[in-house]
Amino acid sequence: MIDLSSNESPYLPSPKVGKEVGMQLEHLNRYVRSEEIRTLKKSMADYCGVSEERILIGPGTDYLFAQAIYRLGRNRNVVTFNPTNLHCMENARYVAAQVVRLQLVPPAFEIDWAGLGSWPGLILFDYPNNPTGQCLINRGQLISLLEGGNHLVLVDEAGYEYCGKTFVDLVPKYPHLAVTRTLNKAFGLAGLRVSWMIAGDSFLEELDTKEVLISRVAYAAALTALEDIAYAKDCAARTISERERLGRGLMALGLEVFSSEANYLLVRAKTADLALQLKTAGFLVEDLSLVWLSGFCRISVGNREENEALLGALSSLSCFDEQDS
Amino acid sequence: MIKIGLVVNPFAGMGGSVGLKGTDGDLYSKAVALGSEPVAPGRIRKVLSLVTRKDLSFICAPGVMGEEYLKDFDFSYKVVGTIGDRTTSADTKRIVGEMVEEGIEILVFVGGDGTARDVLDVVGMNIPVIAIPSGVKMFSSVFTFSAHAAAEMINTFGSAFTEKEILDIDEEAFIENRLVAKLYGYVNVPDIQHLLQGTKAASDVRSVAKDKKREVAKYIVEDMDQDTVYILGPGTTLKAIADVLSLEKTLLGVDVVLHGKMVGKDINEADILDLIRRYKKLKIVVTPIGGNGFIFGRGSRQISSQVLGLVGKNNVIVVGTLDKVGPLTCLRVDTGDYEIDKAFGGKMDVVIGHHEKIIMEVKF
Repeated sequence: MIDLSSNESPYLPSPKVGKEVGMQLEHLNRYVRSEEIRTLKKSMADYCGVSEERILIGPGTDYLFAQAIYRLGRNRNVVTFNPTNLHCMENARYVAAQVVRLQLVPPAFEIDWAGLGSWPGLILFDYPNNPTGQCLINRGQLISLLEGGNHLVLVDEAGYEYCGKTFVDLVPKYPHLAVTRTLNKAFGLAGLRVSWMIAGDSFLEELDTKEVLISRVAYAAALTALEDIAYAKDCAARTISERERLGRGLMALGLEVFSSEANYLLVRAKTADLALQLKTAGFLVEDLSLVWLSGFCRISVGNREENEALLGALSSLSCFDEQDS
Repeated sequence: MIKIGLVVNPFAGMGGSVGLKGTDGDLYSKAVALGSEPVAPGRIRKVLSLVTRKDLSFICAPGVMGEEYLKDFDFSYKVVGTIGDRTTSADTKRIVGEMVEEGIEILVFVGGDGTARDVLDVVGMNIPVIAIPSGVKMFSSVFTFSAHAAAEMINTFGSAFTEKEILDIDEEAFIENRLVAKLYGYVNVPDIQHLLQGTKAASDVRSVAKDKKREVAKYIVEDMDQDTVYILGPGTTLKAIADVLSLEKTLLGVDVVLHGKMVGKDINEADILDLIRRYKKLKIVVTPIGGNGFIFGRGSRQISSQVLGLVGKNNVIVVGTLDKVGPLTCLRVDTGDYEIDKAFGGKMDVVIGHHEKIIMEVKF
């Protein structure tokens, strides 16, 4: 089974990472020291162009979001899109004044940001958005949100390396803004789950902790990966190139393909069983038909061979008929 | 072995290719005269070819209504009932009844909305169904979207089921020359949603639909005001509200709750207008129809445009579960009064859990 359902990088991390992880096996009896965490924070801060005091490290973005919801979501409206990949939204129901979902509707996926109301919100969104692959808020809209009310805004920039757009530079100016980044995508470390938050002052006050939350292996891999940013950039560039090629191939096969700035493509088939047919053919893609809109799937961009195999399999499927018989 | 029923309406879908709106009654002869070929046999053969499960024992209808297709495959099966040369709706109902007596645990049927209504009349919500689309009229959300999806349901169904609607042409509206669908009832279908999600699903719809329905119901009940009259529209989510209150609700009717008690059952438009005159505070609670999103104008004609004009948008509570509302691009109203429809247009909240809502656009 070729798994194109989880938005992982199809490429292994930098070869330097594997070497360093191997060396750490001799130190597995040791906790990660706080000075080592400081070194990693410095490296993350340098990569993002912010002060290291604003960096909070966590074992994956979901963890950081969950903490933000627990500590900052109380008595606020926790707002996100539908669908969302934030599984921590389940937690929001226990602390939030209300959980509010904004339905994403094609083709424009426009969000009425101004219509969110005056009740204090904790607004959570990804940029670019999963599953649309599009950046659903612009700088002006975000600034209006931050200046217009008492909203806290947490932006997941897991796909930053693919889209090249960021709001990190706004964080020092806006205390109610925080941005998360990760090494799980373009850096190829999904198996170790290392993410961090660039926290505005309001987030920093509530979430800063002296606790060390990642393992020695994850620490060493993260530090080494950040020493080889060029490698991650090259992986991202290859994915972008493959994304465009895969998109053209899918369109040529009659699928509707939405423009994407991420490492996946949102597609719509004429019938709703594209994912099922692909599963039978040995490919796993994210089926959105039963949880969102009929006929929609999200396909993670694989490497050249995987994408070729997918296009080959698709061309022999019957999912492009109006109704199979 | 699991006893699984199979009934096929062999003529369903024949009207479509020759421009007819179905094959009910005389339309079948017309379709044949116009040279239409049967569609259903191909559909069921395709589904059966994709079934890999080995623990099934079919109880099927005779000849073209079932046996003819099963005998081409390696399944064990038993035939029940008899049919004549020209199969009818009565055959479907009678034979499904016999299958129920045989102890089927689930029923697979092939047909359109008419066949679905026949099946509904016999099995209700007691026996789950897998509905394979073959008809011309396909308003019901009960139908699987393809042969592959139907086969996946057969291959994987277990103990988790979710309700889906049976709709058919609204005969009253049809006489007025309007082709609209009307809600006729609910059946249970296998809940395969969770089987299809990957590790990084772009949706956090995880809970079982039944539990979410109860959560919505409990929230609505907790929030109920003692002096307010609550008009509960049709549907299983509304029934869940009555269940929380330990009250008996008519599934397709409009019922009334006041002070936590049922004070009106299956009431009509005049009854609602009377309540509006008698009580200062009144709220209408409804759920959208799955698949098309209608909140008014399809499921409950009693909640008329006049009623809605008097009650107003602010006194309407829309409830649902995310697995039902998430697949909609919008909610819809079609009361027959443009001004009322327009007043209900724009954004509207749908309560989908405890302190949880989704904001939807209402189109008219």
